[in-house]
Amino acid sequence: MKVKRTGGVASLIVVGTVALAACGSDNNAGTTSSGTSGGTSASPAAQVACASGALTGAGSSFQAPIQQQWVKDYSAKCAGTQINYQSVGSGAGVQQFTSGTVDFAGSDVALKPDEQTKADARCAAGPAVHIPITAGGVALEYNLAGVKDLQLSPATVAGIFAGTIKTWDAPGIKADNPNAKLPATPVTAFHRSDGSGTTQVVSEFLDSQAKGAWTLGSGKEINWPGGQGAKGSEGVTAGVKQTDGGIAYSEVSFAKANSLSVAKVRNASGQYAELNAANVSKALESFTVTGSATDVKGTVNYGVSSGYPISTVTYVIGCGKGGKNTPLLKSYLTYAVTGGQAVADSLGFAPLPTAIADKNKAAITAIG
Amino acid sequence: MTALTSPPREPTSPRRAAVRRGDRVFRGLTLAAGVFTLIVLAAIAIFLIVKALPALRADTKGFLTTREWLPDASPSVFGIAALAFGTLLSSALALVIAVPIAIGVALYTTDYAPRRIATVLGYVTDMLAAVPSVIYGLWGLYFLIPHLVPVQSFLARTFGWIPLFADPDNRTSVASRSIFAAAVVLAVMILPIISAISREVLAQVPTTNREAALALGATRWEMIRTAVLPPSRPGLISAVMLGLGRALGETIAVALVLAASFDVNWRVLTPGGNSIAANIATKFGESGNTGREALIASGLVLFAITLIVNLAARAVIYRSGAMERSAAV
Amino acid sequence: MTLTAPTPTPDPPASGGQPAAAHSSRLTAAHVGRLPMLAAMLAAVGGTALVFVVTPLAGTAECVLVSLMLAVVVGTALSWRVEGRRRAVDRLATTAATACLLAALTPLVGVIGYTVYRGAARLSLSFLTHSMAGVGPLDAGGGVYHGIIGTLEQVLIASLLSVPLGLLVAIYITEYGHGRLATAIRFFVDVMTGIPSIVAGLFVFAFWVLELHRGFSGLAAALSLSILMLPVVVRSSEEMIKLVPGSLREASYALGVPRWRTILSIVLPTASTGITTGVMLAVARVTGETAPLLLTAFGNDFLHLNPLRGGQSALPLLVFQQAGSAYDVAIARAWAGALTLITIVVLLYVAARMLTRRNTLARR
Repeated sequence: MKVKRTGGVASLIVVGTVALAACGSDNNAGTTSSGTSGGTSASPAAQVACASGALTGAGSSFQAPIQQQWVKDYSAKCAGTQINYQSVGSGAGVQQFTSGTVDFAGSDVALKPDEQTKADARCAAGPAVHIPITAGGVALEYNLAGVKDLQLSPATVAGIFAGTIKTWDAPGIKADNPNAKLPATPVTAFHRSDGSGTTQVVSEFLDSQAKGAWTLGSGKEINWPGGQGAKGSEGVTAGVKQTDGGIAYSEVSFAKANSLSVAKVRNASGQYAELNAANVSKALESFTVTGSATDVKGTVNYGVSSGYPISTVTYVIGCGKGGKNTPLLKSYLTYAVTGGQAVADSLGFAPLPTAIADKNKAAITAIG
Repeated sequence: MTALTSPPREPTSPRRAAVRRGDRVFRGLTLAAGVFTLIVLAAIAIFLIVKALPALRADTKGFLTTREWLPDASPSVFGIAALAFGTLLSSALALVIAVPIAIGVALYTTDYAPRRIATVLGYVTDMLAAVPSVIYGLWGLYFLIPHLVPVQSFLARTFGWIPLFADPDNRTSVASRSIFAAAVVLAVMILPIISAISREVLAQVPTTNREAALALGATRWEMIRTAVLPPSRPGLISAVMLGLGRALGETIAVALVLAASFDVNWRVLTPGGNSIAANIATKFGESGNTGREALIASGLVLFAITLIVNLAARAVIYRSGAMERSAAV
Repeated sequence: MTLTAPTPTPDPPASGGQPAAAHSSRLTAAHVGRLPMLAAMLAAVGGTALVFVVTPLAGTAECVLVSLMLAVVVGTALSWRVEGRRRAVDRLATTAATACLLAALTPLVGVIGYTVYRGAARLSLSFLTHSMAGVGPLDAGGGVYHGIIGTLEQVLIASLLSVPLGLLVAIYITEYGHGRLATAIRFFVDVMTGIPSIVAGLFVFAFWVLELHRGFSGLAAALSLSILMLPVVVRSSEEMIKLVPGSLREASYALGVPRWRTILSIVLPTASTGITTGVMLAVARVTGETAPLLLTAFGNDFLHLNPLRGGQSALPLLVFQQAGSAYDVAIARAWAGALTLITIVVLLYVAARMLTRRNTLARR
């Protein structure tokens, strides 16, 4: 009979749903990490005043892993908090912050003047402020049979991504690598098809350091004359992995996770610097604040004479005054810029130089 | 023999009046549903137009002919030429690949397969519809692209004299994230839709018609050709239109599989190309205000493309006389 | 149409063109069943070898293609010679249909097989019953529980919104509407099938989330999903309702049943299997949609049961986000999540078929 069958299936569904709703949990306390040093409760004694409540953040995918780690560590310290950060891209994050649907944004670039005006309007009582919360370098990952220690100068990088250097044994690359055996494989340069803060950093670097060879300007999107576009860091990395002779720019964690070699890049003093936390921190000592004591936005000098030159900071943008749940935001950000810096290296980021960290602390205290 | 399209008139009485009221209420309900749908669609169209206008005004070069995408730059330059081209080409190619196979599978299920296998086959082909589009994208990127290398290089070698399949730089010798690859992924995605609806349509042809053809001495194929396919044609075309709609609007899978570039790339075996929906998906996260509006403008173009394609399909159905078969025009 | 009749050729005079006239050939029709198959296989192997030795063709794809072509050509030619043109064409059609079946099953095995291969290892009960709360980027733990609940809630609400509405629209355009309005509705519903999912998400984001200040929620996600579901439900239901024979309706009117009762009790149940297929197709499509969810559900690492308010997670969103991470632990979760998603949709299919397994019009 139809009624019996319908009833049977329906009751099965109801019972199943109730069981499902009852049997899951948010408690992942038993999970262990596979390599984060200091990521669990053994972090340095940062005396953070705990707050409680819920916060939502959205934005940069570049800083998403470290945000995730901080949320985990902070919640372990301070029970009763629910911080939800989703990586939707810096642009979308800023837009959502400006519309008031999230409490803070993560962005790889500072707000443009018109965005700043809108963001200030969103914060009822004061301007929106920038806090640089972590730093990182952009890796040039490559896949070239037989070559492990590639070195590249800014002009060569520009030539590769602009399409003027077409094979790996071209004179430009040979000049940077006198001792390497470079095959005649064609160069396949992968770039980001989605707009990306990483593209912005690389293009700004090339714009300032390779003026002759790079004519494509800078920005989150470039009018690439050749090469192949792929979506996301995972897309460009997959492309490089599948193609002998492939090269791309991405976050260093992707290169490491896929066992791809990363090139050394020449800085202004002629040294070929390796991409590691120490070199990034060194390069960021050139960070100059263009905002104010309470709004720590600034610019990085790509022409540093020591350190890895393609380095950048990434910001959290929040309301200086009049935001929602300010105590939790202050407490969380304080943790991020103090104890939280210890996890940076294991995730492919670099700890902030002391100068920036101090300015951050002052700016965070002023939030209210 | 005309079908009765409304019940015959009857003398009124209190009970009949109640029935009339029931009819009127129900009819009103369905009419309201139809009008509501139109309103929702109109709202979407109006929203798209309103949001797109500022960007269109800010664009410094022709929107329909430019092949760049830099809406947030200082002279704002963007255009959908390459995007619309890629959308149409990849969808058309996907249809060419998917439609024969889907209808073939549907025919096999209804006319060739033994009954028990047919039911299982139906479930199994429908399972393809259960796969989320992001998985198609990941499968396409990590599994299909490397495995398509022999196929793409074969096509380039054998048919390279046709401009469509030319490969002057020998890109097909390594993994090529081409429009052809994206079309294959799209074809796999739209296959279950076309196949499921075709199967239902073919199954509804009365058995008596089939038996009559066979009784007259037709072979199985002749029976299908004369008794099964002709009355099913409008339904099959609807199935294809649904599949086409899905292919035109597919976002994530194409974004992951196709190597994005802004050229009008005729060479379907070489990497490069882009589609409107994939472009929206990839650029949306990092766009500024003008960028978002430009993307919405491109969404409007996609809407227009779908409109035109549907108009063309309607013309085809009308021309083939199949309109007489259905009750409503 | 892609399936066209073969071009008519005059029957070759020498072979005696009458169908099944075996007297003109040494082989009888009784042998014919086995002969083409055997000959075809021999031809495939021998002919391919010959072709490859004699001509400069090389490569795996060419090899496969040549052997398949030879098998088909020889089999058909032999059948034509012995049985006549009509039966040869019939055999060719059978081969083509079988080939289509194999061509359709191959990607199925490919996709689902690949997903199982990459996702099965990580799948476990704890994976299905834990959320991502408190899981760091390098941690191997966590699960998709919050995504399962989110997806189920969102798809359920979307179905409740779009299925009744879609059925009513389909009923209107097939039963009641005979004029311009019905044509317009049908036309624009067709146009709606081409809306990219992200545009539907954009619309709901701008209108519901921002304009009406409702914020992110499972309900907003359900609204965008129902925009995507509606045209599929309408079109497929319309086709199925149109296929209900007029004689059934006429019989019902003859018995004095009012029109609306006829539709609800006779027409809809008769078309129910087909309508269920259409609804399941729509549900399957939206369950896997990611793009609109980014803008409407927003995502949440914590379990969030209330669909009316507050960011909620969903399975495809979770898969998408985890797949974008560099770390193996996340990618493993992504594939296991994908496997979970496919399983859920398959279970929904099976449940729907069980509910409507009756009232078939024709033999399948």
